[in-house]
Amino acid sequence: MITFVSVFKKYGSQTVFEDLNFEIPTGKTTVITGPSGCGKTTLLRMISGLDRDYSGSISGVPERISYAFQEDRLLPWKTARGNIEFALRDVMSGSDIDKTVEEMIDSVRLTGHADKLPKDLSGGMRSRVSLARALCFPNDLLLLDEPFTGLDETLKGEMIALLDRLYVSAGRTVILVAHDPGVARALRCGVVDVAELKSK
Amino acid sequence: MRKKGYNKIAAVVLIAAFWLAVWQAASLAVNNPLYLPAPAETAAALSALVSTGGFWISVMFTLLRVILGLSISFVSGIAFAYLASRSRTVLNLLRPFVAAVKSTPVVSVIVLALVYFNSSFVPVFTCVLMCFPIFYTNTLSGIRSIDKNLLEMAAVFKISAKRVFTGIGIPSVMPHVYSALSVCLGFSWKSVVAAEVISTTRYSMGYNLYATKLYLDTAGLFAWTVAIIIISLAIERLMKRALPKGGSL
Repeated sequence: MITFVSVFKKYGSQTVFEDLNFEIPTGKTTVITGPSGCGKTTLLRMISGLDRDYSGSISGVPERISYAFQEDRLLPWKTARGNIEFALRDVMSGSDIDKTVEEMIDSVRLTGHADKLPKDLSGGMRSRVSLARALCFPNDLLLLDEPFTGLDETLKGEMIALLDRLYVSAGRTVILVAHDPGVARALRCGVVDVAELKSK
Repeated sequence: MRKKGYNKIAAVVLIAAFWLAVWQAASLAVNNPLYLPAPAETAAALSALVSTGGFWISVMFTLLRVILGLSISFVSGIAFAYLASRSRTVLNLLRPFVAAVKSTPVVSVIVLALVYFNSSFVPVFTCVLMCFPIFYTNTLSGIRSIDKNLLEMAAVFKISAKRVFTGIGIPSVMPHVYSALSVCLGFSWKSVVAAEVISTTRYSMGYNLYATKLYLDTAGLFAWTVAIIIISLAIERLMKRALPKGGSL
């Protein structure tokens, strides 16, 4: 369990979370929903350790985390393939990296685009490179911040199926921020509404 | 494609011919080679110069001073920019120094350097002092422009510090360093030759410029100036080819 105990978080004078207490199960997928600006991304940043400017405690967070950010966060000087390899270089051997990256590029429907720089890819393609990087990085917790934004319905369905095959059905821990309630239904997983949590 | 290349060459030749014609017309109008020698006289003086061993020795020593001055300012500018990005104390200590050097006329630096150094080191010192602030400020702004989002991404994926440095730091900062190098290449020649003229450094292009003025050899003065411009442009072109694409030279 990832456990939040009496978590208080402020941005300047604006309170984001006040005495937040809840748990996220491990070995399952949890979809975080809520209106814009309610703190969904902040929640992921706190879990990942990128934002430590809060009081209270967050415990049970696994050591190895993978994260697909809301923005693609790709290195502009590396190709799609190079960006994925960059994340894997310290944790995999060369031949494993080649195999993993090739498979993942195919899985996210980027075959033929692997050697293009981010500037030569569309927004949706860049999102999928970022998603591919997060999916194939060895982890015990996968954080996804609106990973299907900008994808058409067909691609979105394929990416949800990929996530289901690699993570949800495999009983791995995923925390996914999504506006679309259909994502949680498609992944047959629990939903945490941040607005409801805050009102408790 | 080939036609485009020919058109480009034709344009360059036409532009050069236009300015040579302007020069020739001006020299005919002045009608005194002591004030303004004709292009042909300058070419003859340049041709006579390049056939002497002294010319090449002077070019070599001036070039060495430029390379030495550029190298010292390059390394020290980048090193101090890195330190300033890590330490507010270093940043605050360097701020007045860099601001003062930036607004100091090059001739003040040369005269000051003459007090402290022998004349052969004055051009190097001048070049370092003139180029250091450019490398320093450009590198510092490059370091500050590193995308924090990319650093966060690297932190999440636990990418080693060495690979963050080589994979994110260097590619982010290099365009700023190239731009500094582009400015400093021209600047270093000007400051080294100016310092050589004022400090009358032996075995230097600047000293030869000074000597042409002493002997009222205006054609020689023009010939040395043309030689400096040609060598400076040639080095800039060489550097442009040596640097990876994306550099702003």
